[in-house]
This record gives sequence, structure tokens and C-alpha cells, in this order.
Amino acid sequence: MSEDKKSEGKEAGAGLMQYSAEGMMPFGPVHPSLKEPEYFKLYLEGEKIAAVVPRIGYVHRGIERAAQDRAWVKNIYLFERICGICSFAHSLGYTQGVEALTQFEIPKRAKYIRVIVAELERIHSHLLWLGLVGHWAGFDTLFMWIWKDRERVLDLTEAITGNRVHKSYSTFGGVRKDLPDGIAEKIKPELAYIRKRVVFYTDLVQREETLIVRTRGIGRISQDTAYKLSPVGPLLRCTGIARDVRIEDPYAAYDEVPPAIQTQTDGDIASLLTLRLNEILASCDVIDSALEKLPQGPFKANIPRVIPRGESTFHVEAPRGELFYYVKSGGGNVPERVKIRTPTMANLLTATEMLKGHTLADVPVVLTGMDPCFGCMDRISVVDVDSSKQWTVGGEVLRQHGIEYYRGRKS
Amino acid sequence: MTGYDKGESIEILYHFWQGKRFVDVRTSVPKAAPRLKSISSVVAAATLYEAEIQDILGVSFDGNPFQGKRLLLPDTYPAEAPPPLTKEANPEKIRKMLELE
Repeated sequence: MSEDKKSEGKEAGAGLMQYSAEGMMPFGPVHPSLKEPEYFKLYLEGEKIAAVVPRIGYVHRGIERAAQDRAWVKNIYLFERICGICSFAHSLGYTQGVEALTQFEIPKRAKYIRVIVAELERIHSHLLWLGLVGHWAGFDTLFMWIWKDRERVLDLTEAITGNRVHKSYSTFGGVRKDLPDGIAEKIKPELAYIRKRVVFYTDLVQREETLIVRTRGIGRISQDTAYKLSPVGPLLRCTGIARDVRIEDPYAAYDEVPPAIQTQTDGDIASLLTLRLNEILASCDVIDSALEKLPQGPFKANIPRVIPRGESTFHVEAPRGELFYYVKSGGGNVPERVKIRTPTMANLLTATEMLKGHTLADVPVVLTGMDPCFGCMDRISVVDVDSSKQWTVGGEVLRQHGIEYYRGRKS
Repeated sequence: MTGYDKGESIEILYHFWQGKRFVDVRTSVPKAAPRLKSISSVVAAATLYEAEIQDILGVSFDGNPFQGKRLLLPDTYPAEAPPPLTKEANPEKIRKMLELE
């Protein structure tokens, strides 16, 4: 390893990111399907990962700055486009943050509808993640099955909001349109189907050798690490810490239809699998009881167009964890400052800890474990620091490497 | 953590969740000498948030492992240009500096 690379790593490793490694492998950075593409410098000792230094921002689009030039209502649609998977969580965080400024009570029906759509989004996001873990672990059948089931959830989302991905549904004062007639009869059989499939998958992830070998004991984080690095969402709950914004600080109608909070104790990828499957079941229950209790009445209140001066902090439980919004208004047509802290940003440090001590073959599964989308896998350069030779390993090659590495190994 | 340009100074907010509500700790640094002590040795989770504020508002945090390094900003962002979220930052001027136009 060349001298300057060594010293560079040492500085960045002060305290948190300490390492003494033989070689560095750049990992990333292009990550087309994610709001936060990540580039990880993996410092390797042989094939073991000794330290990870993140470098992010490759598609930082300056959305917080752009928001300062756009009208309040236009920003709903801007923030939704931060993420294609949890778009509703973003619009929910922002609209509720602004509603908190106006001190306007929104109709109960709107709150219930928001819960239903948010939980549908959680189900589809968790299914998507489960499929991806199947893919990176070399179990593509699981990926195909799960993504087929996910289509049904997307169809429901489309039936309610008119869109599959960017729902553009939540707005100031409620939701953009009412639930279509007879939607409850449409949702219930689909949820029954999802429940049946989830029970099947839960059994599968506990018995299927491929998944057990690739996920059990892999990417383990302890409770102490979790307390130190403050991850959010499933990554926190898989270590046994029962925290969820929906319970701790109920927004929308979650105080009336609270979800059953799920935890696991192992803190590894296998426990994340079980945890997310259980959370899907909990979400189904929430939707069921929300449909049962769904009050009649208006779905939207007209709130004043001028947002009064002030500032508010708001957080929601996105599928990936706590999503934080800070909104500051100067009383004008545009917000003075909106700050967004996404769950992936909060989980990034924990992900670097999860990778430590594992091999290159585990990288795809562990990084998927923190639940970013994994487009960046398609472009990795491997640098041989001694001979300065450089070659590129595609995502498919690395995936194959992972499968070969574990071939013949039993748990 | 939120950073905010107030004109003469930069305001930094630390949002702590206290189990029931957010407690915001507020501080501000003059824009002429934007320097603060890092809390990353106490609250490790703040490491990346401080690094983000350093990139977008130019506040330097003493003791943060990312001090003087970029986490979010591209390497090509001109060092002499004002940080992108300050009020002085003008996209057109920055584009000229980068010779994109």
C-alpha cells in the first residue's frame, strides 16, 4: 500500500474508523436507484474487511436548497422525489411538519387514509428488500416470488392514489382524494394473500440452507453498538431495542391503530429477515383495523395558503426507520429552510460497523441488509495497490463470487 | 442536526429526541470564523451530520474525523467558492468557476 493512502486512511479513521489494513478496495460509487449512493473505501486484511470509510453525495441534488426557491405546495412533490420507495413517508413528513406550523386540525378520515397508504408502502418496501436479499444471496427464486407478490401491493396503491410509485397523495390538510368505493373489499383478500405468503416465507427463511448460510451470524451488531451509533428502524429493532416512532410519538391515526412493535435479538441479517416479515404481518393488522375504524367525513381541510412564521420538527417512521423533517418558515411564499435527515444517513455508520470482520463475499448481503437499493454493485474497481493494476468487477461477478465462496459450506 | 445561514452568522441546531419530544439545542457561529467543537466523541452518531454541515455551510468541527475532508460535496466543487447552502452561493457563478458555461 502506498504511503499517502495509508496516512489518508489513518486521519479519517481517528477514533471511530480505526484500522491498520493491507489494501484498500474502492466500492461504488454509482448507485442509480438510491437517493444516497454510497462509495465505501474498504480496507482489507487479506479478504477480511478491517475498516470502512464512507464517501457519499454522488447524486446529491441539492434538494434542500431547491426547496428554498419553491412554493410550499410545490415542495410536496419535490420531496416525494427524494426516494422512489418511501415517497409517501417523505410527503407525510413534510406535510405534517407544515401542518404543525399552521396549528390546523386535519380531518380524522384523512389521518386514517394516511395510515393505510403508509402501511401499504411499508409492506411493499419490506417485500422489495426481502427479494433483494434473496437475489444477493444467490436465491433468485425467492426474489421472483416476492416481487410477484409485491405487484399486488403496488396495484392496491395505484387503486387508491392513482400512482404506483410517486403517490402524490398527501397534501396540506389531508389527502388529495377520497378512497375509491369498495376499496375495503379489494384490500382484504389481498392482505389475506400477503399474510399467507409471509407465513410461507417465514418458514422458508428459517429452513432454507442457502439463506441460513448467507445470513445467520452475518453483519451482526450488538446492542451496545446500536446505542453508540444510533441506527434507526429495523436495524435498531433487530438488536432488541423496541423503538418505533409510530409508538413513541404517534402521528396521523397511529394513536388509535397502533402497530404491534416487532423486535429480534440476534442483530444479524437473518434476524432482519424475520423482523421484516413480522413487520409485514403487523402492517396488515394495522390496515385491517384502520379500515374497520375508518370514520366518515371530509378527507381534506382547507388550510390557509400562507404558512405562519415559525419552525417545527417532525419525524415519521419510514420503512427504513425514522425520517426527520425540520421546517422553518419566515411567513413568506417559500420555506426558509427545510432539513431532512433520511434513515439511510443515520444507518450509514452502523453499516460500516456491520461490514467489519466479514469477507468480500459478504459485502453485497450486508450492505443490502441496511436496506439501500443496490445499484452500485454494478461498478466496483479492485485496485491492487502494489502493482497499481486496476480492474473492474461487475456486480454479477461479485454476486457469483459470494455464491462460489459459500458453495459447500454448511451452517 | 440542522445548519442554517442567518446572514452574518450560521445557526446550528442539535435535535435530540427525549422519548417524548424533541429538545433543540441552538448555537450560532460567526460566518467569518465558522468553527465549533465536535460532539462526535460524545455522540458518535453526529459524526456524519457534522460532516454534512461542514460541506454545505463551511462550518469546521474540531475533532470530527471528517474535518477538512468532503463527505457530500464533489471533489470538483471549487474550494474558493462559498459553500452551497450559504446565501452567497450563486449557482451561475459556480458553474462559471467550473467552466461549465
